[in-house]
Amino acid sequence: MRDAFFETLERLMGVNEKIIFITADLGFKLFDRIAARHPDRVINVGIREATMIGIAAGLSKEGFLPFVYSFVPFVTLRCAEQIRVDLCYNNLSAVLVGVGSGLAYGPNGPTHMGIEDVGVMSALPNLTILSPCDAVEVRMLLPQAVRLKTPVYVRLGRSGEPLCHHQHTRRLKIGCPSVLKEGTDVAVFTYGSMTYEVLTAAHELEKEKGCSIRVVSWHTLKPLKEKVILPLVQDGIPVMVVEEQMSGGSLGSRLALFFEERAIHNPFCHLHLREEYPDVCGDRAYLLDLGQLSKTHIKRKIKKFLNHVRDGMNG
Amino acid sequence: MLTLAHQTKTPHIGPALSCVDILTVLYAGVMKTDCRRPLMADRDRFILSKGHGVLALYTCLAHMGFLNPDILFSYCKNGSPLAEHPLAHQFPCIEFATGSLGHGLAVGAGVAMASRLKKERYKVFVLMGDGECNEGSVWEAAGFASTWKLDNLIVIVDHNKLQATDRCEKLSGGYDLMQAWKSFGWETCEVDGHDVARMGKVYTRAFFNIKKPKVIIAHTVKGKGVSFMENDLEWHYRWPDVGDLKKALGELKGIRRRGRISSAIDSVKET
Repeated sequence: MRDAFFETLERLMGVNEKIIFITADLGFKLFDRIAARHPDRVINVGIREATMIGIAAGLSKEGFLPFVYSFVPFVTLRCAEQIRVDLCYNNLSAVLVGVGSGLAYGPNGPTHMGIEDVGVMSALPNLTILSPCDAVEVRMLLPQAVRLKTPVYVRLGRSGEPLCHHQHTRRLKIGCPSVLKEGTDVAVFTYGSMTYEVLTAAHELEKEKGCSIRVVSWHTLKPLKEKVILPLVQDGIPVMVVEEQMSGGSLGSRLALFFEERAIHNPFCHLHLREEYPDVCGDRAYLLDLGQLSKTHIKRKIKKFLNHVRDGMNG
Repeated sequence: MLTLAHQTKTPHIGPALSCVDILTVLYAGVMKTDCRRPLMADRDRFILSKGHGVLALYTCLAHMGFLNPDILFSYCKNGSPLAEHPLAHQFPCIEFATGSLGHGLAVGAGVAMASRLKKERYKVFVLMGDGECNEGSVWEAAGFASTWKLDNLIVIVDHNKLQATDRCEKLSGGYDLMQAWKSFGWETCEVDGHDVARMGKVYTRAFFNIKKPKVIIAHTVKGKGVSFMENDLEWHYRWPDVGDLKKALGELKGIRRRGRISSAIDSVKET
């Protein structure tokens, strides 16, 4: 995803001279190419995240479109109030780019994890939040993000993630969750790097148990629009939300509220990280396993959820 | 300002009085602005980083023709565009919403950076409080601005020596404010922030030509102009009651009669 981001950014900067790339001293060697092509339009502000957002707001107000780059926690929570006031309240367009969503930077420890950012950022008005699942979504969604008149937060994984979409998928639109796989027994909504685990789990369950599972890449976490949610659930299908994120303010908690407010009573299940910081070191796979969110756990929980739904109907 | 604070029972009259002379000099004599074209491309930009001093800014903007003076009387009333800290998207002449301290300098640095990219020559003025200089984000932005030699960025620190609950000296007396800015690579100077003529003389061509961001430490008095408000932290929070107002306006009338301010502004314009 990270490589797809820099390729796409380079292309966008070539055609849109208003784009300015700002980094707070991260991305070693990754922005060398764009800096060589556009030396005036790459600003390394140093390790100054709060200031980075303020500078972006100032540039945006003067007609530029800043891309602000750092690790997920440093481009969100570290400078949350600057995002709130300088960008969201003043409603200035800028693209915040965070790498290392979820547990991607696992061995670096919880300081570098992106496991509460969706919840916190979702609370901010005017902000659009994107969490693409693979390089295809990055390439398709980023050019659309540039045209939005709001601040946007894009969360990326690391690099080398497997693809979930076909290389040449065309129909991807900000605001419209993307159905990766049709199915009728259960609909699983997920986003970001978790999507690949869910998709693989769904394919395996289909082969092994004959379950029909709908998998949706929910790349636009905010805004959540009624008209795109309803068609995905109106057949009464059981809904499961899987996210590499704690539950407070996350997609699952916001969808649960959405369903409750509209008296949509599809069976509902939410898989998320526990509200605690891992107390041991581990890579993403290890920590997913620890948090019971590995592919094996997801398969087990989908089966359990389907059994539970079936028992409920029979009982 | 006093009448508005009295009518609406709002605080922050002290910090508004401490910066009103600074604003007067900027708007009347220094900044390139045009109330008929508030968004003209080459206007100088102003950011009130100490958003709680906004009563002084509203009054100043009304005097300069940017705001209809009648609207001042809606200050802090329900439905009004004039809040205790400047709101977003209400008037073109108020470019940024502020109120949370420590934001304005970074935003100003961005605006200054934009002028370089656009090859425009406007200046960016940021008015900050001395207490505000406690914020870590101020020093992040200060370090950025000097590193990038943003020489069209000018900060004025309203140094009234009182912050929200105590004297600056007590809360941040471990270092010298001016030296701090200097060590961050800024061109510094200090001036009496109520001496309109002196302040005007700071903004010379030579000063603007120095290839560094610049900070003017303006020594001021919280509550300036009203004897019983001066240097009293109480007036960060209190509003004048009928008696206070009458007494305060009486004192100010004396000053106005002497015509000091208007003649001083004329001298600023000449420089």
